Amino acid sequence: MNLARVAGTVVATQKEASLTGAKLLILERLSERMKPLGDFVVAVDAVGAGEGEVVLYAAGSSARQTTITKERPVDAVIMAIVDSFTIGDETVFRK
Amino acid sequence: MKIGLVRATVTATVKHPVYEGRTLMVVEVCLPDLTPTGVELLAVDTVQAGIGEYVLVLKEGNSAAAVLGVKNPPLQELIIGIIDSVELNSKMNDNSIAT
Amino acid sequence: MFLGRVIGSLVSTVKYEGLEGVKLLWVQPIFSDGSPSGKAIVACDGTQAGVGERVYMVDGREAALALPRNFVPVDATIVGIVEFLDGDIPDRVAPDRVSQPDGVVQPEGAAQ
Repeated sequence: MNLARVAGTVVATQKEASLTGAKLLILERLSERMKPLGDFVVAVDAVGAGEGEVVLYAAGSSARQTTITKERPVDAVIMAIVDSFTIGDETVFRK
Repeated sequence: MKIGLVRATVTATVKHPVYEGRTLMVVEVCLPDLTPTGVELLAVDTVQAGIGEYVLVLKEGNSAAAVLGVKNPPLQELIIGIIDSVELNSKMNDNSIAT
Repeated sequence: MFLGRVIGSLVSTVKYEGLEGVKLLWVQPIFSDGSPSGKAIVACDGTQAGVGERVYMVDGREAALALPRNFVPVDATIVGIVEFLDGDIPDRVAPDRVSQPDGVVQPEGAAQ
């Protein structure tokens, strides 16, 4: 999984029929030091994440393994909202 | 499938039960002309491959499950053949080096 | 599957149903000689691995198959703790760069 911050939302009225109702968020990938990596990805939200929140997303075929994304054309899904994390013994992020 | 060069065996203390009794190997992915690319992966050996041998590596979970006869194993890559030789026509060979 | 070194841990209370109790760890993917390969990722732990340990992971859909619940959206799970590698391992970097957990983190913006 990759760390990312919710950077925005995408509205698409005309989309693949099975994606109706999916909440699409724009994510910017972060490093383990919370530095933005300049990689952006659009992901389906499976956990109710909000603007600005630090989240984890799963990519590839794994992204289809939720009840929302099963058998749908999805390659990234937000599957966790991050509370805190440490690198070595240093707490780098706390919500 | 990919062509690879077996670099090392991996010995693990703690592992998922599906890896028990199986040999896990470090394989360096090679171009069709057998040039190593620097990209590495780990694969479970099914053909008694040895270090320094060129092998065929399969990366597909459902096929791995079928070959091992295990339902839903948490693994993808298997060594499923030892390569005797690769024949390339000269044009293909040039392309493989260029990419 | 691929090698990595555990460099930290991560806590999340709001996560997809079925992932309760699954431990999340920061892992730096590495080559067989210990040098970093790409950017750090977060992996589920199926082995009780600790910070500093060398591990191997399974990626893709198969990552979920190592967890108690198999239909969960995860793309990397630790499935083994490496004791040693035995073979002909080419050196990619000087050994002193790979000894410390901090040292295996690739600098920002470095080419993958």
